Amino acid sequence: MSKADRARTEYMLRSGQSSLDLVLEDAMRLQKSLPGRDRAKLDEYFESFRAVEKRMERQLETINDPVPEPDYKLPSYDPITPNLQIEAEEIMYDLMALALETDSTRVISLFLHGLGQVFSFDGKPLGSGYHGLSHHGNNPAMIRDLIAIETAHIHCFAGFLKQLQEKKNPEGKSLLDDTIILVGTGMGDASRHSNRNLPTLVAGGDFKHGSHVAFDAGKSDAPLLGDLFITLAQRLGVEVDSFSNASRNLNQVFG
Amino acid sequence: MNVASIGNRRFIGRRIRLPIESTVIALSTILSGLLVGEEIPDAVQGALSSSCWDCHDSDTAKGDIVLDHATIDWTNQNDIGLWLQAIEAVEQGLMPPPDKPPLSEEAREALVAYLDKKLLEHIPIGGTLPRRLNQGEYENTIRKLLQLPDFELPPGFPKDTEYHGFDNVGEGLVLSPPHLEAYANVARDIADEIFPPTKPAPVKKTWNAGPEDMVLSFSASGVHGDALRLASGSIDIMRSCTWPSRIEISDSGTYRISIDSSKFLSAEGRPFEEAMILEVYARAVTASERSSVRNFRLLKEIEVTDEESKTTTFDADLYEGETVLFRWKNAEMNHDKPGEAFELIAKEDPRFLAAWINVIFPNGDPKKPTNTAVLRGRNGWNLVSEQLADPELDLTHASPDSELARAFFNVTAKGKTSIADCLCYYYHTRGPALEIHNLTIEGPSKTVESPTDRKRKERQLRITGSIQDGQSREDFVRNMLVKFLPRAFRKSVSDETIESYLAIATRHWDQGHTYEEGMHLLFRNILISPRFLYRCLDPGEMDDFDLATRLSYFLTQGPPDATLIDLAQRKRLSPTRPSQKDPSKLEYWVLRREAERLMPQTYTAPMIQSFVGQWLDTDSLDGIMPDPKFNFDQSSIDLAEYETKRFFAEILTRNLPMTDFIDPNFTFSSIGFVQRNYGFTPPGAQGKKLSAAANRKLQRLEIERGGRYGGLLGQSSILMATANGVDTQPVIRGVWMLENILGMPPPEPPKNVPALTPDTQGSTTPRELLSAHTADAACAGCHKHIDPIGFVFENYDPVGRWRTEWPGANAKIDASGVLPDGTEIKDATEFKAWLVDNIDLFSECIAEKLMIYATGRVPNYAEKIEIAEIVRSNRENEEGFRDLILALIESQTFRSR
Repeated sequence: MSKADRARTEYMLRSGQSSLDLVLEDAMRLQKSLPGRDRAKLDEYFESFRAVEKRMERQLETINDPVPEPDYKLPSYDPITPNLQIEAEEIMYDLMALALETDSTRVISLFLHGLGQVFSFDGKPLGSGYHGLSHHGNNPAMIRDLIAIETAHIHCFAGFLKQLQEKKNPEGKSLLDDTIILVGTGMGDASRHSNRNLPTLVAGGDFKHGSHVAFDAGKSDAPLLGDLFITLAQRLGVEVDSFSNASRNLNQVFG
Repeated sequence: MNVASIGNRRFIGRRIRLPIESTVIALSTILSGLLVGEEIPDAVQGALSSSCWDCHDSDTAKGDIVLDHATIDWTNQNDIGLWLQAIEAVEQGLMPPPDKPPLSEEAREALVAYLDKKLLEHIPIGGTLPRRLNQGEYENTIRKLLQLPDFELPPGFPKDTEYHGFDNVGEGLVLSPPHLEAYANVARDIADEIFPPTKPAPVKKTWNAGPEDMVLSFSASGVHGDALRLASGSIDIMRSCTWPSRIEISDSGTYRISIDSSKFLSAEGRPFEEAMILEVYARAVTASERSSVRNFRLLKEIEVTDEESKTTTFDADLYEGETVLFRWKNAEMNHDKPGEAFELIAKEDPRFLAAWINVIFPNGDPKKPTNTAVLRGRNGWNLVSEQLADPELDLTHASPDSELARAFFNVTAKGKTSIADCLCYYYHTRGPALEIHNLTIEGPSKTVESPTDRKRKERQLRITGSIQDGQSREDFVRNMLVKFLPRAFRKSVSDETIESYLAIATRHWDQGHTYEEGMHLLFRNILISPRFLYRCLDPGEMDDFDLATRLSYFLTQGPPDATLIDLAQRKRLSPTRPSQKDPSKLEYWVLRREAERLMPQTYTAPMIQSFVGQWLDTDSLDGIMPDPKFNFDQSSIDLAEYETKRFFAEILTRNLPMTDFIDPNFTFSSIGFVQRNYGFTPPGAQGKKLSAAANRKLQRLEIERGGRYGGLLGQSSILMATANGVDTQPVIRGVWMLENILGMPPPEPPKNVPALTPDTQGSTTPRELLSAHTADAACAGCHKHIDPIGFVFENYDPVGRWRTEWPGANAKIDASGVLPDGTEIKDATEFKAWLVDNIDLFSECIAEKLMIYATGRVPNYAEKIEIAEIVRSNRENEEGFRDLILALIESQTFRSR
C-alpha cells in the first residue's frame, strides 16, 4: 500500500466510524416499529454492525504498522499449457504463502475445481477429464490416470508446505508451525458418489504429525469430522465445544 | 495463527430436498386434568382409531408421531404442525402404508374434511420475513437507482444462500459481519462513481518496462534475450498482444511514449520485406484478457523496418486506469486463419511438413487425426520439435500433394486455435517476428478530463440536481433527500429519518470536510441502511409501496420505477373495482395493469433468467462438465440453456396453455443442435443440405406433439441438470421430477443407507441394482413413487440424447413403471401424456414455485389452497400461463406480507 492509499484508507475508516451513530439511530427507530419476528431478523443486522465497528477499530490500530515487502517476481508461465490448472495452482500457493508472510490475511480458502480439463503428463493426454475419471467404476486404467492427477495436486501442495516451513514469522517461528492447514474433499469415493469416510489432511499448527489415523466408522462413538473442526478451532483460541452434530475434540489423537 | 483450508470438491450430488414440513412435535394436551383445545369429533376419532393408532398411538409412537389425543389445541404451532403432516401424508397416499388396510372412502372423507376446515381457520395467509436484497436484486437496484448501468458486484462478494430452491427467501438471506463489511466496501466504490474523491495534483513520473515486465499473453509472445517477440495478428488480445503488467495511469493526461522495436528475421525463417506495423493501443487495466483489440483506443501505428532496434517517440492521451497494449498488425500468421501460414511454411520446408504429419497422424492414417485440442501451444510445439530434431525424420509423405499432407492442410484450415498456438512458437524461434525491447512512459505533461470523469459529473448532476442561487447547502441536500430517499428505501420516509441522514453530511462539513466528501459519506451510509438493504420491513400490513416493491422485484428483479413509486405515493396501486368477468368479485385493476406493463418480454429478462435458472436448475449447468465422450461442448451447453429459457419466454409472452410446457408443437434451437442432439430433423429442413450458417441459426422449430422430444422433460438442459455429466441416476431424476414438476417432494432419505457401487463392467442393470428399494418395505414407501419416474427418463443420456441400451450393462433399457395413481406407463411419451391429462399437478407446482420466488416464503396450507383454486379456474376458463401469473399477483397470498 502506498502512503496515499494508506491515508485514504484511514480517512475512509475514520469518516465511516464518525457517522455510524446516525445510521444506527435511524435503524433502531426502524426496528422499534417492527413486529417481533421481523425485529429478531433485524438483530442479524445490528450484530453485524457491531462486529464491523470493532473491526474498523482494529484496522485503525494497525494501519501504520510496518509490512514486510517480499521480493517476489511472477514467474513467466504459459497459460495455454494443457496443465494450466496445475501451473496456476503453483502460483496460487505462492500467492497464499506471500499473503501469510506479509500478514495480508489470516484466513485463506482455496477451492480446486475438479471438472473436465484433460491433463497431459509427459506429453501424453490422459483418457478423460478429472471429473470423468473420478467415476472410474474400478477400471484400472482410469484409476491410474486419476492417481496421476491427484499426485500432481499433492505435489503442488507439498511445495506450499515447504515454503511455509522456510518462511519465518517476526518472532522467528516457522510459518508452518504458525498456520493450520486443512485439506479435504466432499467425496470419500467419488465413483459411488459416497460422502462417507472423507480423506482429510491436517498440516502445521504445531500439532504432532506424520501419521495416518484411521477410525472405525462403524463404532457408535467413532469421531466425527466436526470433532476435528472443534480441535482446530480450539487450537486457534476460539472457545467452542460444539460444531454441527459434533461436541468433542480430538486432542488425544494429536497427542 | 492462520487457517488455510483447501477443498477439493468434485461434483457433489445435486441439491435435493424439500422435506415434508419437518416439525418438532411436542405433545401434551392434557394438563392437570384440564382439557386444552377442542375435542376431536367422533367420526374423525373413528377414522384415526381404525387406521392410524396401530402405529401412532402413545405406546408405539412410530416415527415419533402420536395421533391418539382427545383434543387438538389449534392455537399451538406444534399441534398445527402435527396435523398438517397427517393430512399431507393421507392426501399424498403415503399413509396408511401399503402393507396396512387402507382408509375407507367415508373415513378418509371425514378425516380430511375436518382437518382441512380447521387448518384453514387457524393458518392465516402471509408471514414473509424481511428479505435482504440478494446479489441480482442488489445489482439491478444500484444500476437503476444510481444510473450505473454496468454495475456488478465484485467477484468475491459473499454468495446468497438458497432456501427452498430459491436465493431470495427471507430465511435464507442471512446477514453476517462479512456481508455488512462487503456492503460497506461496495458502497464506498459506488460513492466514488458519483462523488469521486479529489486527487492531489499529479506528479510527473517515468515508467520503464523491459520484456520481462510485459504480460506473456497466452502464446502471443515469447521472451528471447533482450526482446519480447510477437507472432500473430489475431484480434483476440490473448492470442496476439502484450502489455506491461505494472503500469497503470493514475492521472488522465498527455504522456510521452517511447518504444524500442525491431524486426526479427533469421536464415531458417521466412523473409519479411515490407515494414512491420506495430499498433499501440490504450487498454483499460481491468479489461478482460478475452477482449478484442477493437474494444481499445488506437494511439499510434509504428512502421518497423530494421533488424536494429530503433526508438519511436510520440505523445498521446492516456486516461486513469489505462495502460498501453501492442499488436503486430500485419503478421503473416493469424489465429483467425492459421491454415495459410501452415501452407506457406510447409511448401518450402519438407522437414516441417513431415514433423507435423507425424504429430497429427500418429498412426499414419489420414482419416484419424489425433485430438488437436491437447496439442495446445508449448505442449504441441515440444512434440513437433522432437520430430524436427530427429536426423532420421521420414520424409516420404513430405510433399504438399501427398494424401497425408492434404489431410494435414484440411486440419489446419479448420482454424483450430490450439495448433495455431503451436505455430506461434515456430515464429518466435525462427521469425519473422516483431520484437519489443523497451517501453518508456513519461508524464503527464498536461492533465485532461477523461470520459469517465465527465460521465461521473453528469451522473452526479442527474442524481442530486444542482444548487440554486441563494439556496443553502443544507436546504439543497434536504430537498434532494426528500425526493431521493423514498426511491432508495422504496417507502415513504419520515422527517426524522431525513434529518438523521442530512446530519451525516452537515456534521462532516462542520468538521471541515468538503461538499463532495460530505455527500460521499452520506451516500455510503444510505447504501448500508437496513431500509435500503432489506425489503418487507413494515410495522403492519403491506401498503402500496410494499406492493409496488414486491411486484417490481418479482417481474423485473429490480426496484420499482418512477411510475410505480408515483402510484404508491398516491396510494393508487391497490384500488379495486367489480370484476368485468364476474361482478360478484373484485379485481385489482391498477395492480393488474402494472403487472402487464412489467411482465418480461424476452428470454433475457432478469426474471426469466433468474426464476427458470433456479426452478429448473439450469443454473447448475455451469458446474457440470459433460464427459468428453458425449462431445457436448460449452456452445452446446449454452444452446441447451437457451432452448429452455426461450421456450419458457414463448409460453409466457404468448399466453399459451400450461400443457404446452409438457407437450408442445414447437421448440427454439438450431437445426444443427436438434439433429445432432435429439436426432430429429424439423419438417422444413428435411432432405435439404443446409449451409453451416443455416445449421447454426437459432429459430422456432416445429415439432410433432406426443413425441420423445419437446417440452421441458425432453430438453437437454433439464436432462443434463438432473444427471452429473458422466452417468444418470434414476433416483436423482425421480426425486427432481417429484419436487420440481409434480410438486410432491418426497421426505428426507433415511441416514445410514450405503451408496450403491455402479457396475460399469459387469452385467447388472441399474434396474437390478435398485430392485432392493422395492424389496424392502422400509424403502418401498417412498421409492415406489421415486423410482418409476426416474426410470422413465433412463432413455435420455446425461446430455439428453435418446438411447436404448444401458451403457456398460449390455441390456435394453426398461423404462416402464407404475405411477403413484396406479397408471401403467411404458416410456417417457406415455409419462408426458399422463401429465397432460393431470396438468393441474404441474400447474400447481410451478405456481407454488413462482409464489416462493415472488413472496419469499413457502406457501402454507391456506395459501396452497388458494393457489390450487387459481390453477383450477385457469384450466376451466381455458386460460394461459400469462393469465396464471396475473391471477397469482392478484391473489391474497401475493398481497399479504
